[in-house]
Amino acid sequence: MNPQNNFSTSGSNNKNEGSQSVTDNNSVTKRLQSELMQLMMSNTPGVSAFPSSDSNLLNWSGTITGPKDTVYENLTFKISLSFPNDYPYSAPTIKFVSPMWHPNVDMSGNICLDILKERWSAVYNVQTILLSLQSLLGEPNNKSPLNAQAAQLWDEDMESYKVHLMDRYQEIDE
Amino acid sequence: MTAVNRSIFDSVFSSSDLLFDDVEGYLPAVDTVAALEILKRWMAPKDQLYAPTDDVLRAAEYLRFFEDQLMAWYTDEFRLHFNKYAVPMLYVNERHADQQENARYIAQISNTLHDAHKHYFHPLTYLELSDDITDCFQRSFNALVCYSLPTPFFYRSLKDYFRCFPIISDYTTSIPICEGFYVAGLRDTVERALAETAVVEMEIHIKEQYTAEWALSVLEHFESWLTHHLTASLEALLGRKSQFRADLLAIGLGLLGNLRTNELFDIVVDYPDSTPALDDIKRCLRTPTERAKVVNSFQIACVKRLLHPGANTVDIVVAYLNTIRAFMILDPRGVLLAKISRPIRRYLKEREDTVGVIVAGMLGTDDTDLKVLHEELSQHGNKYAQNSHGEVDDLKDLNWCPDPIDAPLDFKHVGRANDMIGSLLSLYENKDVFVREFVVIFANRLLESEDYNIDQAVIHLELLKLRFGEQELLNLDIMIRDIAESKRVNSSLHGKSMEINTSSSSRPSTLWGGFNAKILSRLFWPNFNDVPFLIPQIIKDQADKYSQGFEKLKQGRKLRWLNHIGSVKVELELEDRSLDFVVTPEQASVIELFQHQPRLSLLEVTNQLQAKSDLALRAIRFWVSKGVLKDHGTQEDVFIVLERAEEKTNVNGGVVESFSSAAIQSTEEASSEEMRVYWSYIVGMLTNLGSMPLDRIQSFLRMLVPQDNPYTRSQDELQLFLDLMVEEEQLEVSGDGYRLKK
Repeated sequence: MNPQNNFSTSGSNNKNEGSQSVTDNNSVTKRLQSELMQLMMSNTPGVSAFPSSDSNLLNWSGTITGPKDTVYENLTFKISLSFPNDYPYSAPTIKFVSPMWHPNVDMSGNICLDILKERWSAVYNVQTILLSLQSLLGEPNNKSPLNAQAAQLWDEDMESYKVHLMDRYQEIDE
Repeated sequence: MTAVNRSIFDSVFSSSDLLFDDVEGYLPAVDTVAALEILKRWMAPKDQLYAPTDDVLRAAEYLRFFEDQLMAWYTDEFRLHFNKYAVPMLYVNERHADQQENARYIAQISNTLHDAHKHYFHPLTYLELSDDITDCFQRSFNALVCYSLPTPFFYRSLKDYFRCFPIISDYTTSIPICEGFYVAGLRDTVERALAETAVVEMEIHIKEQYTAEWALSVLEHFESWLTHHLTASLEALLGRKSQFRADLLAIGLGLLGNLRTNELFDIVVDYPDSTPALDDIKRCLRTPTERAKVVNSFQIACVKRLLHPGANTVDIVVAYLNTIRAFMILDPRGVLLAKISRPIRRYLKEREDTVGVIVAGMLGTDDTDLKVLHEELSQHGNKYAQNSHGEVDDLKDLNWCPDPIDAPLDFKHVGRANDMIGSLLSLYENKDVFVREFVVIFANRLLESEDYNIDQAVIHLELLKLRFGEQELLNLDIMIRDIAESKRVNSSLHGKSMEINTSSSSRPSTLWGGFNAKILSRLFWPNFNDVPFLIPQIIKDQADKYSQGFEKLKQGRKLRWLNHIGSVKVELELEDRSLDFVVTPEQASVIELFQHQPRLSLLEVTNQLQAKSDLALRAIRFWVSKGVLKDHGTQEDVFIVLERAEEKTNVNGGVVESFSSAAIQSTEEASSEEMRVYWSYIVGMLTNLGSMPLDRIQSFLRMLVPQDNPYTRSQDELQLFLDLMVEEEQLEVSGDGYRLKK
């Protein structure tokens, strides 16, 4: 037995499978992976997100808990995040999965938020998006409402706004 | 002459009525009656046996054609006689507890029956009776004996008797007795009793002779004993040759197999000395039932004697290795082994120190029974590593045999019984656990070596590479290279410092020859626990100088000193003696403080060192034990230098306190720290995706944790961790998955 001989044979054909598949993917995966790492490590209260499947990093699910001292306090909403192939140069598409009652969210969960549209920039990341969404709950932009009734009630009749909200609200059930 | 004619007629025409009528007509009636009387008188059972007179013989001639009627009468006659005289002899009031009494009873029955038969048969020998009639007599007599004998009682007594006069040793005594029974038609009963006794005696023989005799094959001996002793005696007793030897052998093998099966655990522990016994078992195991029994009893023994917290892990691993080798003898296809090893493997996996034990064994660090692993590693190297997953039958194997009938459907060939390391490595899903352990052990060894000696480590690494592959052991490669590199850097720095010293005398202090450093590439070494304390200023100066030199030599690289790892040679000059020690840096730092002040309190030491008090105290205790310091006595936690040695102190210089084991994070510490990182992933996962089963969590982690520090835990490790979290009430188990506890 000559140990020297064996070096070349056993070493070379033993490529790490895991790293292979990742490096083949484009940089989006890498970016999302590091964003995930960052998000996981920062542990921001009230917001959280995670890829929905281990095979496709472009779709995430998230949860947002309403900010304190707003009507949304203690309510938790599920959202979906879908990243384009040229992320972060284009904004991700974000929708509320849980039924939502909010001036800037329509009945299908679409969101009207400037940083997700015309004011998107590559410096934003999942964490900042989630935080923006969280603060949007407490501070709606009533100038460009997707839900006119909600916008109106927000300004005029908070009590009935609340009733509508709780009507729509569904607790997240696993 | 007439008689002769009749006899011819008889033999030819006996069934013809016509002829019979004719014959009857031929004999005068008076003669017949008279002849019958004569015959009856002579035949009636008497105390003595008389030879027949001529009258009798003539009468018999006469009555030849009336043998049926004659027999009918005679049967009644001897039956009456038997009942009157013999039957009382056959009965006893109760079973004989006493062996002697019992033997006498059996002998009495045998004699009685023998005599009765002799008497009753005696007259018939003189009458030239046809075979049918003789058979008829025999049947009647047998029926009479059977009917009269208290059979179950007799049978029990007979067995008691044989127990007292064993077939092997005392068969000569029993021969006449048995013959008495045979004559009386009790052959079946006796043979049954003999067979049962033979089996019992075989069992006793096996138990007495072969228990715990594993170093030699006992089968040969057993077979010869069976042939020359048991079978020979039995044949003598039975009075005939018989085919029972094969049956007895089969039963005997079963008994032997039984004995060995029950002993199997000890036999395995005794391996390889017990190899002959294993060969024996292999021959005794024939049916799937017996094989199942082996599995069963061995598993029970394992659980009772091995797989419990009281057993040493080394012992369990050794036992496991023995089990592998032993069962490969029993069943080369490995089916039994596969069944038996499962619980052992499961248990080993649960033990925390299994990996450490195996690794230590492989490296041959401690002198345990696991040295075999090291030997295997150095001898076989990669013989098996190549096709570790090759489960195809070897077509060239001439000893190939098919899978046994009890092989489970998903059975995979173990095939490589001698590959002990392979069997142990396959305990875990991947080899990473071992690699991590190697890293720690290598780190300890490399740091311990004082003279940058890497030869031993290189040899070990080369051997390990054959087994684990180059890639996995990259860390170790780099660690060893670090040390080699350190040696060069070190000598180069010392050389430079000499140059400076000679060229410009303005810088008097140079690097000391004894100040040597090892430069580690941090990423590839295990984490080092931080143990803060201040090293003496003069040492610090040296370190700084070293750093400067290094930074000049290697542009853009910096040194971070790990003060708590290393060793220091200390020479202490006290009033009456000077002492040499090799100590740890903190011990050296502590004693250095006493150089300036012969009397220090623990608090002062702690403050000056800026160390934790337990660290300082441990170092002080070390010096106290060496007789250099001593407790002040009156003031608590104050220590003074012992300038003059005291009587009781025993001073042995040059002993290093065992290398501070806390310096390097053990694999468990490191792994739980890493797990904490993964924990946040798991929380994120479960928050957003709801409850998830173990395997999905595992695959998520595999995919999502960035590759520069990849997730390498096995699913079992993850499960352990998750279960721990369940215990800590962070998680709960729901259905088939885990979810966050609210």
